[in-house]
Amino acid sequence: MIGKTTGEDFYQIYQRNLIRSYTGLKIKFRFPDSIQYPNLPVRLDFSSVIFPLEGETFCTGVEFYLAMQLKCQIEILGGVFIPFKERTLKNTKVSKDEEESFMDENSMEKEIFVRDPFFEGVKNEIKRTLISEIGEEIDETNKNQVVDEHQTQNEIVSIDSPDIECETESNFYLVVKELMTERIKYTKGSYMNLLYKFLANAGIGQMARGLNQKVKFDSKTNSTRVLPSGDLVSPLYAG
Amino acid sequence: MSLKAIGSLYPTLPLSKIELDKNQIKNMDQFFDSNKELFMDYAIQDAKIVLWHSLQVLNSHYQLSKKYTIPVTLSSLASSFLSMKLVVPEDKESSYHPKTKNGLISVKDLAKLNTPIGIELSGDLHEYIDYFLGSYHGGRNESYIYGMINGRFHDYDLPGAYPTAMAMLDYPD
Repeated sequence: MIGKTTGEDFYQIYQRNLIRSYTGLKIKFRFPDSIQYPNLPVRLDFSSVIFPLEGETFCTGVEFYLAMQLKCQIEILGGVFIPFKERTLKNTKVSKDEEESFMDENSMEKEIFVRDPFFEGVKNEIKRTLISEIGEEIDETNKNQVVDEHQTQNEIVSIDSPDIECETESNFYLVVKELMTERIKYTKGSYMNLLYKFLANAGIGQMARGLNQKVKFDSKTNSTRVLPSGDLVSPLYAG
Repeated sequence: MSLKAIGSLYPTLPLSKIELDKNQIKNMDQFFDSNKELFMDYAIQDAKIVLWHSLQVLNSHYQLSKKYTIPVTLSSLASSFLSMKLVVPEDKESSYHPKTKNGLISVKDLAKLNTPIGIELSGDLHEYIDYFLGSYHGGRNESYIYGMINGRFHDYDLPGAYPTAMAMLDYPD
């Protein structure tokens, strides 16, 4: 658990680990007036979410990270940091001792573990996901698709080769890899191709299913009822 | 997907939807009276498309999840398949919903958490789960310009954004 602290102190400790963790924070924030598109969502009422320059909200570690890159002034009111269990890169995991020292404000260590800028980190994560093994095939598929649609524009941008290696592969990665590998075996637009595409796209949605207690019509009972959650639902993954 | 699009998923089978003109679609009673044979062909062809596609989805559900249940929706198919892969991996103990130290309640048991029993038996889970629930805002939908747009505008798409995000996840420690 994380107690009250400044965003800058928290940021200096965790840095890129926030991308590879489940972090939930309650914060007060203020972006500089020059920021055109602030990234922190604030609920106004039951149905409206806005992205103001200033406010109080709950956010994930990745959202916090991006806000810090945008020079946002943040005060952390509370939160929790849970690192990933597997697929840990060298020098990116915060040890228990390091975490405890952060909790104790009197002995807070402000060591910077990884100095990569946020966008570089995200870019590398996406590269690693998309451009290893199946990624090359996916990339080629997508390139062909783009060429077909924008042949006259000459605006195709290819992604660089990967420059980092994955030590281990998570089950999530392996499932996506399996789905993508199966998908490209079938003709684009065919039933099986679309089925595997849907399975891959549906994963994140299934993890959030039922969190908002949405009401849905149930044809079995001819009435409305709260959308039930499934085996996959978890607020950690959904965020 | 429209029935026409579903029929086109099977190009090698005679499952193309019969095309009608707008007047026929708007006035089905008149269409029935004027051309009963075509009306019947149209209705039966629609039923064939639905039947074939339903059987395909049922079969896919069985092939992918080794379960045979009805009704099958694409969402339930996805849920069954991904649950089999992520929640109960064949090669090791599931870490998808790690239980609390006492082993009685996991993140999955959200409905039980906000009860006296849930709070007492969930270790520190009830203390931190709200941070994650509060952080879930869904996708960002925002329109920066309203009405007719004069001039050039760009429409960006992120191919494979959801699978990419999912591939970057891992089990919590």
